[in-house]
Amino acid sequence: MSALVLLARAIPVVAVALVMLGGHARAAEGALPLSTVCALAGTCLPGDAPGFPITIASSGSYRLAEDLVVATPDESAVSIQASSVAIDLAGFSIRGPTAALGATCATGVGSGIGVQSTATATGVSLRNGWVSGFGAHGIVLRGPASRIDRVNADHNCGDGITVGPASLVVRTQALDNGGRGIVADRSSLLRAVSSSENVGRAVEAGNGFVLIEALEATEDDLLSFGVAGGGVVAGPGSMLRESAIATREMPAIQMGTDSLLSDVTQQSKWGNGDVLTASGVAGIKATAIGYRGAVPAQYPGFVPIGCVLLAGTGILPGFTVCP
Amino acid sequence: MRSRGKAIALVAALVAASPLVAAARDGVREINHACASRGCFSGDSPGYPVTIGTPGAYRLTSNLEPIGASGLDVHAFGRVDIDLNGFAIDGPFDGASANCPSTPPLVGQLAGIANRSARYRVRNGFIRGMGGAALQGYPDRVDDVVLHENCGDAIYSIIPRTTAVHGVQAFKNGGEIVAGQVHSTIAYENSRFMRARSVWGSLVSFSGSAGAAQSAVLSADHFVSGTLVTQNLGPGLRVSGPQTLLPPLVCIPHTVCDAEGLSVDNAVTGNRDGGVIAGIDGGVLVRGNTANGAPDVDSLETIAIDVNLTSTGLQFP
Repeated sequence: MSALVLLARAIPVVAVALVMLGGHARAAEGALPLSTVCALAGTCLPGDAPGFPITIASSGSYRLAEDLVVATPDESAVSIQASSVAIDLAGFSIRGPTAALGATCATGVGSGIGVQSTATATGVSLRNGWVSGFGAHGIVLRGPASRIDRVNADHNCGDGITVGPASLVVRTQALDNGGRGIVADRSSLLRAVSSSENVGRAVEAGNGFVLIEALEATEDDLLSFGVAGGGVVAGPGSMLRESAIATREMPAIQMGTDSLLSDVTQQSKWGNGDVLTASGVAGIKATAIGYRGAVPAQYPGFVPIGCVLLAGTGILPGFTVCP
Repeated sequence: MRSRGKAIALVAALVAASPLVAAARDGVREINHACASRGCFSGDSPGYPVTIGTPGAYRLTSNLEPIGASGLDVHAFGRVDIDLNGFAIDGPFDGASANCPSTPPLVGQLAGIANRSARYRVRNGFIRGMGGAALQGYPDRVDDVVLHENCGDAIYSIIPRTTAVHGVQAFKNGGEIVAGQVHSTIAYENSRFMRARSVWGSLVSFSGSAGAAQSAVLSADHFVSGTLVTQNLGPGLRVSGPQTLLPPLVCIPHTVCDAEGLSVDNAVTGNRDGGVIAGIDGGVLVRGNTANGAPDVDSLETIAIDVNLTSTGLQFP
């Protein structure tokens, strides 16, 4: 048999073999798949007990193969107990049963959390999908240096997203959660994020030293009026820049000492709101106001920088009006 | 049957002989820990670092876990784009000096990404726990990356003016950020500081080390604006001046390199060794800053040219 004939006969076998090899390689090298089916059977990961939550105890890469659907408000979906865990939601959702309730459900409906990690789990990554409808919170990554990218956390009964210190949250949205939108620990960076229609504050970073950029925070829902909502509350040494905040509750913006605001547009839709306070000092009456620079000098720890753009009835002692 | 057996044998031989090129469904070459052990591409030797010798786009599909080596070594002649894809280059260290290599590694060793010649972009993931720098060499752009607990620098650009850094979280690194333009970046608890030609919209806190008065925590040759520098151990913000020159630039005082430093609308507060320090030589504009909690000497506009003035917050040495 000539070599050419032999090669011709071999081609289909080669093709099949390469396809099989490729599939095997991807399964072996790629992320470990997570699904509702394997969660209930306890076969997603070695040592994982049947049922939710899926417990991730080893560093590595994980990828949703379908939506993870949790049945009761007290169930959590994914519990991370190791550092260096990367979860690609791959466009799928991690869903609890309260999505239909949206912001009408109050914290306490259940104890379920969509994705959570322990405080010692460093460098957890979550990206590309939705975490919705949990009885307690959507995402709670307690360890330092976590990263959330292109995730929507919505219609959870508690907070939408909580991250530990020195975390990075980008291109992410917290929408219609029953608690706060985004809670960030010390020295986190939030960039290109949206936090809207949450019952609680849009962003809370009480431990300070956070950088918040390109935040869009709105609050139109009548349900949120009169509760402990508001816009941004950040501790000392924080920055808020290039952002737009529109809220009903007060304060719209509350920054700790030694903070810096620049190019922030704030709108208090209901008027006469405390649009900005510092260290618990009452804010300024205004209907709509935009800032460029820091806050008035009479508030502890703040020094006016630059000028302020005024619209409406706001009065800001210590500032000059921008030309 | 015999011919089929021969065909199968030929298949086996072909597969064994051909390099296992990582999947590239959209033209992007994939890199992962498994392929690193045998060589991810033609020309990449088994083990770490994964060597990128061809220009193009690359994407991580798992964490990389280099031990005793760099994660990636980029030396293609042309541009290389690296999407960390949410994954990490994950070294064995924790950034604490006591746990780092006793002898600091040479440039390019134990780095997250090391390179000698090529220009590269990196985005969307983590580099942590490396014994040397997280990023080193000739990065063009660094976007949306968490660099933490590396023993060396977070970013060390050999030609800083060509490196743009955007949306980076640098946390507990043993070194500094040396780049050209730094924007929307946060640096926290790093052992050293940030050096860049232009810095805006960034926050630097709790960085530096005691006794580092000879070097500003944040320094820039050209422009610093809308940046918060607070609670650092050295001086807060140094604008221009011989001590802020970035390698490999060599500038003699009174040359153009040392002129036109700008510091505008920053907040520089609570730093241990002074607030804003302007350069020795001329052309420095310092305007609208606060310095260690107080307005600088002229919050409207100060053009300092060869002046010697020291105040609580603002110094012209």
